Amino acid sequence: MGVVNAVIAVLSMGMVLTASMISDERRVDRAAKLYSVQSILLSLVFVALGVTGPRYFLIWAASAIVTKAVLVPLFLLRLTKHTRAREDKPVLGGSLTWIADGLSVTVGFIIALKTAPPHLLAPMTTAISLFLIGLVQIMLRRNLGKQVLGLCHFENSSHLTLALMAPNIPETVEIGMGTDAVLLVFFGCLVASRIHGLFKTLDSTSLVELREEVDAE
Amino acid sequence: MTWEIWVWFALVSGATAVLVSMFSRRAGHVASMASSILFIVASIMLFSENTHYDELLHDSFSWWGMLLVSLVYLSSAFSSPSFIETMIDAGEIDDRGARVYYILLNATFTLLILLVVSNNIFIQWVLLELSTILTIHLVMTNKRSRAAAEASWKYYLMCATGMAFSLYGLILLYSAGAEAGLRDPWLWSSLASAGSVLAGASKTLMLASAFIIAGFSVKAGLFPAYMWLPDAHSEAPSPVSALLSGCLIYTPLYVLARLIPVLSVAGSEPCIILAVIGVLSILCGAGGMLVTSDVKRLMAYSSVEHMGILAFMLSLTYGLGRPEIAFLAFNVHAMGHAIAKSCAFISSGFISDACGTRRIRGIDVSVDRIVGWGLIVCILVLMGAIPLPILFSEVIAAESIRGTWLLLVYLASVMAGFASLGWRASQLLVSKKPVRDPTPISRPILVRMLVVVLLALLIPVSIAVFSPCLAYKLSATPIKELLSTGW
Repeated sequence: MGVVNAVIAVLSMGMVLTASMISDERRVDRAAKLYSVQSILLSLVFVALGVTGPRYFLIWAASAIVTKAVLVPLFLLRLTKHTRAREDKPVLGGSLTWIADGLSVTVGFIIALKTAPPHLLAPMTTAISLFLIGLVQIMLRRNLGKQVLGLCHFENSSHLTLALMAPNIPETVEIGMGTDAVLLVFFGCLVASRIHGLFKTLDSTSLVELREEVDAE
Repeated sequence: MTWEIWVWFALVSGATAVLVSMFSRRAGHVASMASSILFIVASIMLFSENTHYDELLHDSFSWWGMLLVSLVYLSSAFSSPSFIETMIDAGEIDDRGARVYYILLNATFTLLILLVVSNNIFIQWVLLELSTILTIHLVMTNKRSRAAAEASWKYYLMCATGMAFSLYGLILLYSAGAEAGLRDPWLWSSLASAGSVLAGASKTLMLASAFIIAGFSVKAGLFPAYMWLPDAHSEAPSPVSALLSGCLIYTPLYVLARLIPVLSVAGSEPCIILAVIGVLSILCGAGGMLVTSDVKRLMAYSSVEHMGILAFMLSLTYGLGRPEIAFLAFNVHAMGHAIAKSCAFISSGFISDACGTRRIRGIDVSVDRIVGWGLIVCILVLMGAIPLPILFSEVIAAESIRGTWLLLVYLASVMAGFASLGWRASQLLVSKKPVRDPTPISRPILVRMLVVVLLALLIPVSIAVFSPCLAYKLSATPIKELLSTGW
């Protein structure tokens, strides 16, 4: 059991590391591939839980591979295929991204310390940190693809929390959430590509400028 | 199990409408209209059914919710052909786009019906999220509009973030239920019947309340994250605006209304937070109405105000007021707002198309007597100036408030909303600066009469307040009904 907990802790830390790398990466296609790696790590956490606990976690692992490690990155790669993959200068970039991520992990650790049992400390810290890193990414990144990836962090965070805090949940819920994750990204990419067709950019600043123009009229 | 048959009847008719819409847009027109009528038939048939709780549930609250969704569906389905054909003529949408529109419209209403009859809190969350995803695409039906695309993105990003918060809250709630040893902690009925058993996990419950209220308030367009609402609701085609304002922003409050008694087990803080959010939303809505010059944005800000009123009424149900009366006010207000707002969006869409502008000063309501005066009556109803459901519910809510200061704050904020909308409504009647000569509304009389039919529906809703049987049914809080079944 101790070995499995250690494996889960290492995998969880890998997830936080990939999340920070996604935040820092300005090329959306590379960020999408990193997200695929993060989802594979999530699936391995489920495998570890399935080996020592309920077998249905193995089904969760398989479903996460298909939906999050394959389909979601595919949609994002398709979006970047016809658009400029590189993000314009973000609101907060470079070393400041790592500082923001570090703060997110610290806050995540403090919350997990107060709420989670000791053996779940590392994965719960990861779950909360992913949520906060996603939030920071949505607020501070200007590229629509990167903002979709921020939402994807929420999805992985909730999925991990669900596995840790809500075991024995009915299968229908897991299926529903998996479907939702795929559709959320699919429709997000659809809207983003429509915006690219109309504005010739995926930079959210141009959207803000348009809204100001419309409001001024 | 007759009630389940009627629920499945509605769901199957909605699913059939989705399938039929794939073939042609004309089939989509007809299928959505037929399906909306079948939804209403199912809702009526469920009136006298007894309360049941399983994976699906049926009680008077879900029945009222189902009726509300069905009536908004009716208004959207019957007005859609007219708006869609106009958009096709203007080249804003092609035939394929029109088919996709009907598929998504029918699918959204079907999901919403499933949501109101679902007992599983996670399935409700999934359905709320899916309905958001589908309506994002509906908002940008006009493929040429840059403003609609921008509004869709804001809607997508803010609501998806809000829904992530609420999911976290639901997981914490589940965890509190599991900690307390509940049998099926994913079922609302199981959580609600636990009562003080959950008090042991008060810390987790408090955290869950914060996440759930924060998340659902974004989805309902409440303060502070309401900014997406005026953009999305004003840029969408009018039948979609009716769907968004009439029932999509109501559904998170519907879920919250069921969860509030569970969350309040640990203390009255969730109700206090809701009351504060409610009052601030009313004031933000009132402020927005004062500064906007666009008739559809005016209606959208009015939705922010009314969602604020509903959130405030919700806070009265389990902490700050008398539960039964407050719950009656909540139900009547929700229905009154849904019907009046659908009607207002449809009539303002017709009028602004005829006048060639959405600017309040450029709109001439005399361009069509039926639709123009329909719009004015809708605004008066939404203001609470006519003795119809909204005024009645606001008075009932005031009566249920415990505490003079709270009553004064409520009355002041409601009056601010009344004055703002009244000021803008007066501008609709005077000082015209037309951008071009208004063209007569070319829609068939039957479509224009939809406005009258919808307004007429407000009368039976008003009767509900005075009819002892209906008032009793609508004042029964979900938790009271649940406990009376011996769950």
